[in-house]
Amino acid sequence: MDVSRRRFLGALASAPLGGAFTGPTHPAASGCSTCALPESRAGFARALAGREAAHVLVFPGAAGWDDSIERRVRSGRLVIFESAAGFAEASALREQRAGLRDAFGLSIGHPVRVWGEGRRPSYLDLGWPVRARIRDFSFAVQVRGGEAVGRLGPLPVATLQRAGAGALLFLGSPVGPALGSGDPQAHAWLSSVLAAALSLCRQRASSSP
Amino acid sequence: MKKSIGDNMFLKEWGFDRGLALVKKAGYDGVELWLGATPWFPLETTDAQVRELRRKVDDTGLVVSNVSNSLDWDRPISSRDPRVREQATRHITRQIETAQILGTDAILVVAGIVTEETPYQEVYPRTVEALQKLAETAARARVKIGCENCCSEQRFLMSPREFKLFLDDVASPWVGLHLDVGNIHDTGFPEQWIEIHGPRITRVHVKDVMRHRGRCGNESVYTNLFLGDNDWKAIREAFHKVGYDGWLIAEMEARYRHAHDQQFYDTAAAMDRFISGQL
Repeated sequence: MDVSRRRFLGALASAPLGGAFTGPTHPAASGCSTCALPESRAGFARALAGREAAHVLVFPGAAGWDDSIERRVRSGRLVIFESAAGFAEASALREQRAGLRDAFGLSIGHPVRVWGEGRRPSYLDLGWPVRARIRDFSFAVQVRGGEAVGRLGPLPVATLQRAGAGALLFLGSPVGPALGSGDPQAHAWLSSVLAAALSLCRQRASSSP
Repeated sequence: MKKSIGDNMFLKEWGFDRGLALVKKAGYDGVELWLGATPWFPLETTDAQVRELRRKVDDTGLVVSNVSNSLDWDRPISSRDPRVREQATRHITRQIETAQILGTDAILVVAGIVTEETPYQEVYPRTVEALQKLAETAARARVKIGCENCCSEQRFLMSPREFKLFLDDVASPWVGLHLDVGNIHDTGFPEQWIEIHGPRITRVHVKDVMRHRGRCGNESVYTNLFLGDNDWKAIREAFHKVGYDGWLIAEMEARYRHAHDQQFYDTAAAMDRFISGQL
């Protein structure tokens, strides 16, 4: 069956699970994010399987930027953008930085190697929608702007930025691998995110004339 | 059982030819080749160069017992970085290819390395998944992947039952255990590993271990056969019980400080005593 790209994206966006995932794991043209961490994609996919997630879109382990994100957020979705810039080429970081700045006014730094000489195990402490403590994933991307919702030690690495009828949740420290390895706090956090996205959507519906 | 020893024990100044001659003279049946560990067998070795290595082994009257690699420690298939995992897949695939050319049916890998940064709960599923894919390549080549039990160094699959469940999860007859009877230290007993794994044992590394010493700087916890704490009678009986009649490969970490070649002779003599049961 022939399906146009537009129709395919539309089908993804309206799929019952609602979780849209970056497709190719190899470099693609500018303006289309790729996934640099296949296990993060697998982790999110496994965690979202069979769940009501129609209002959430996930870009797991993202390298680069996807031009459709701003439109998706403004139309009322909660987009989880998980950066894997630490596992990608420098050009991917540049694209991501420009996209986040232009579309959402967010500023991100260079990926920081979390593990150096003498470092101890560190955790991503998320504070929205519930508190969760999730193991770091070697690299972290610092973010400025929006409502800070997660830190890795002193670094702000997660933020929530509302725009239009939706919101962008930027994760500078990957969570997908922890979902894949069965971390209960990561799963509880994702459940809360799904519930928050539903609530966000309902608010939008009730406030519209 | 047949005796082998690794070419990583050859002094660099000997070169491959002189090393092989010593292995033959000392009475071994075969030699273990280490991909990435010696000047004569780097990862970049071409097929033609591998065939030349085989010709030299054949001409010496030896066979290649197995192909090991020294690259897994820096490029493990359990790395968080997909790019490193890709490199690991490539070098293990190359190991399989060279094993075919060298006429052996077994390779050794260190599958999965747990560190403070890369935790066990991630390493396990990643390693299982990587081995399931590599098993398909191994099956096509009819070469068995032996995952070595580097228990304390790997901090992974510390007990024989844990290792068994791991192999069950990989679920391929082309992936088994390359048992190192010296690596178990004080966390267990090699004879019990042998009984539990039996037909899944692809090859066996032999060395002795001083269980209670622990590593102290550069001081090795390993020692020559019969000088350490392994119960060699029990190990031999366990091999007999499970019907293991394959390769024993000497892997001596602690090296002689003088007369390096003497260690080849002494180790071969000790292995003969073990094989003949004169213990």
